[in-house]
Amino acid sequence: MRELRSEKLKITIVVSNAGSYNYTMTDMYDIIVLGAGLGGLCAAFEASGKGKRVLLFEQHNLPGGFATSFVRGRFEFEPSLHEMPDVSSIEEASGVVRYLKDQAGLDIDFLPIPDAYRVILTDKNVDVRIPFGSTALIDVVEREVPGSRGPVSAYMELCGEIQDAFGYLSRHEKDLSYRDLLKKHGNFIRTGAYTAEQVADSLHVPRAARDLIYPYWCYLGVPMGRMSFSIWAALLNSYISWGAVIPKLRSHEISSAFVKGIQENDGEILYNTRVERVLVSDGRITGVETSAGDRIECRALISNASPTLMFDSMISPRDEVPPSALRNISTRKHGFSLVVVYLGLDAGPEELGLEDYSYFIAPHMDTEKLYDTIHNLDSDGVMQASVCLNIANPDCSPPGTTILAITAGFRAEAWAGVSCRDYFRTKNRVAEKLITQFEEATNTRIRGHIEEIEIATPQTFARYTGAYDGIVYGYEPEPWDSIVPRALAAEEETYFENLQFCGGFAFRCHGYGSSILSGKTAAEKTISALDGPV
Amino acid sequence: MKVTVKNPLYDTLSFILHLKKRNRLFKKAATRSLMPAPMNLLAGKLHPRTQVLRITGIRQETPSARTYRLGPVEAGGRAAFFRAGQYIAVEEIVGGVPVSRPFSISSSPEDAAENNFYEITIKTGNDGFFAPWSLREWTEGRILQCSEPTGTFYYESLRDTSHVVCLAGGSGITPFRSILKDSLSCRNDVRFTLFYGAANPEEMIFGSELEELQSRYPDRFSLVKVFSGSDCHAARPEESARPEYTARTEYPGSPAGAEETGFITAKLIKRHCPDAAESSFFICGPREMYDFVSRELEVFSLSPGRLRKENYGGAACGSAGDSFVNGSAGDSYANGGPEGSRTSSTRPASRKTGTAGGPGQKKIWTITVLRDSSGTEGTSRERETVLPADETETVLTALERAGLNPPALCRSGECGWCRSRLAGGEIYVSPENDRRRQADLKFGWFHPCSSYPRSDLIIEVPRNPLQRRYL
Repeated sequence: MRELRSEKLKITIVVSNAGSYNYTMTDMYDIIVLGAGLGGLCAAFEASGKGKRVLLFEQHNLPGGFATSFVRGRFEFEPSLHEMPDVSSIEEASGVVRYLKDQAGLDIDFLPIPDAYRVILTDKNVDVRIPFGSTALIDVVEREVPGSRGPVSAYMELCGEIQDAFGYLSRHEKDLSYRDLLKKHGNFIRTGAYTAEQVADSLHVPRAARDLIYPYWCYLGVPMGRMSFSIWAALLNSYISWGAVIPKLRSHEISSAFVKGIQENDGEILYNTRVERVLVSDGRITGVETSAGDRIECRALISNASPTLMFDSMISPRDEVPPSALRNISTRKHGFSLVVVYLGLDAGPEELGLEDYSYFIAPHMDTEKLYDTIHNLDSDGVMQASVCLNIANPDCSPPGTTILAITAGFRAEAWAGVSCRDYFRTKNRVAEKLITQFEEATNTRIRGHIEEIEIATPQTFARYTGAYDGIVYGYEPEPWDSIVPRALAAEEETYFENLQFCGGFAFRCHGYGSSILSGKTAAEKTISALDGPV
Repeated sequence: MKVTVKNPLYDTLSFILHLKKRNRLFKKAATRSLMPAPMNLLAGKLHPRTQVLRITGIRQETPSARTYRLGPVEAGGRAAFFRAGQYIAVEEIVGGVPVSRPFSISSSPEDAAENNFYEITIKTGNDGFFAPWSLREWTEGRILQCSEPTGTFYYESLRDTSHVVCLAGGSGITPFRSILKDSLSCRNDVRFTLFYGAANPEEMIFGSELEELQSRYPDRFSLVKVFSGSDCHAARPEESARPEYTARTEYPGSPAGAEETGFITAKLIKRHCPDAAESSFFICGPREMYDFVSRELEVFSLSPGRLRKENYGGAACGSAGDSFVNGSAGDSYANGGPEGSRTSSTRPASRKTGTAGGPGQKKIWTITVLRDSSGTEGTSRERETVLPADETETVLTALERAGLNPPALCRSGECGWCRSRLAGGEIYVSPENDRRRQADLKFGWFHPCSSYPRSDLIIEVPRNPLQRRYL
């Protein structure tokens, strides 16, 4: 064995007698970012852009976490993104697409989604196409549910106000006054304690109208009777008012654009390297140890891994974890995971009769009951959110073919009893049921056209992203654990002063936009802690 | 509009009340551990990054093929479960350099689950160095560094037809042994016809086992042995000179299966499988066989999804493509073909060292490997390794030859495990093996295992996560 040392990079290369080498690093960085999911990518991009020496670790060989892509045969599949709200054309808005294009200046082509969604409720004989645009939505709902115009208009107006209030909050992060907030955005304060269902009740929105405007609940994954109204309102309003987009080359385009940006900022990324231990001394993060044997020091850490993983499995020594941190993670309800059936079909959308980009299919829109179904793999009457990519992105697959992805929520616990031996059979059984549900609801024939199929389960997501229990969403945003309470409690719940979180488990809650922007916030907070307030 | 949900005072105090609720919930919570998470555990069992396996048995199948039985080294270790037809990659150090080779698992998933072993079967030919080397070096007790089972060459009931036609050539039989053992014993809704091409009866690997399966499942499995009488498909037969099959002894449905002479032609397939045009085809064998059979299958007008080929590296199918140690032509240039795509990055490499070769002469280019992950040409980052690369060998082969131990699994462009950044220079990728992501094309990433240098290259290769802790 001999050791080569390069002083400049401080990389120790161990050359074995056999000629192979693994290299381990010992070094010091300003900021280590743990995990190259969207939050981690954005954090590394922002921090390296501010001149910090940044090292980003990723356990997989690809960036992006859930925001990636995979190729089977003639098809390149989108693993997770259905749509991102498009605010790129709105001057005042501070949404994620605007951030990616204008502020970050990333090279990503976005394509618009034509309609919001088609909702098919098989037990209730509902099959309605919901357009983008508040007025258009109100008109369609009035047509389907006569007499609903008044309450639905008030509801949509309120959702718009909530969204405006979030904009106000992000503009006044540093000089926020409760009195001003109450004066300018009183409804935000007054509805903040409530669930989405309570607020709809107070405005007397008819049940049949709610059936048509509730399908997006599955993007947040909490039944409306437990979901924070604030976050729901912001989500509904951002999609309906602004429309939605997808990146042309799947989510991997977003992740790759971030990687390019990080490289240009002289940030560093180490793939295939899992951070095994986060080293703590006297209440401060001092560095990390990796699966490759690297031991690297840092002044601050930004974690795209969840607080659950960080506090319960990574901090070393473990007795440095404050009991309050463990109580925090065991109190919060971990969100659900998904089953996704990715289909490459050997016929075009027209031939198959697929006209819509986004299909929400369920027997009914009782979200409590729908949520119950995600606890059992053999549940009947699940809700599926299915996307025909070609409708928004005609060039996503060769002419005469279609990419269809069928998604249904499942809690990881539903899979807990499945053994290795039963795993493949089980996921096929679940997938077949979802395909049949899609065919029956849309009156289409898919089965004979399957050229490629992959089925992702919580196990798949755990494998590729390392997420705790393969969870796709973060902590469930009930009113007491929604964005505002998380933000207000942020200081009190900072358990290590040089540790910030980003990603779906961070304070902005889950989703592509939230994950990305949480990385920006984490980088800003970390830099101001390192450099002192600007 | 001023909204009132419960009452104005309570509504206004909402956030404060919520923080109180939050704190109340946290205070009464336990500090129990949430680890380990069942899904991460399952992922670790199904997809361990590394498996350290010991050769526990060796069986001579034919004069030129051997089966190795592999079991976990660690006490209590498990051979990860898999889908019949998948492969494992084995990492070895050959001639002083670490190389990786994919081998289809020839045993059944049931054997992994029940008896905790895999079998891989290796056939030597005059092609490549790994197979003859392994036959010399691999003895019982040897410890092998292996990957998780992986690959997409498996029967999938939601996708494939209920009659599957399998075409195997030489050691290409290995995944089919696994698929047949698994499917015939575990499901009764699918029927298989296997055309197995071999030089002669002595060269048939698993011959008696397959005959046994045929007699045990006469309604669901038909075996058609096709003997070429020479080194099977070793040479591409000319159209005119192609020997037509002649029925030698033919007992359809007989315990021993049908026997034919010649090559696996469309005519022969049609005679045994009248429903061939409506069937799923699975093909595994040497490249010459793919080329021949692909032309034959054109008459069935199969849609792309009905034709599944196992492309994994040379070694999985016993074809050429891994011969750099003995210095003969490497990953066959024919893998490419003149009509393939050329990809050049936005930053062409500065130096051109390619020696303009005359006919029969190889061009040698220079690859600069950036080990550090942020360097781009023009920055001050160190370029760590400079190595020569033969135009007729893949970039992966050049990296391995230089001892860099790059990550690699499938060696055919498909799995993307070797995905690396092309910071400068021009590569060639044959369309058939080009499975790059579209955004990777846009941002300059490539798969070294299916790429040939066409200029000097500057590349960045991720570290190999397989650790040689046990070797």
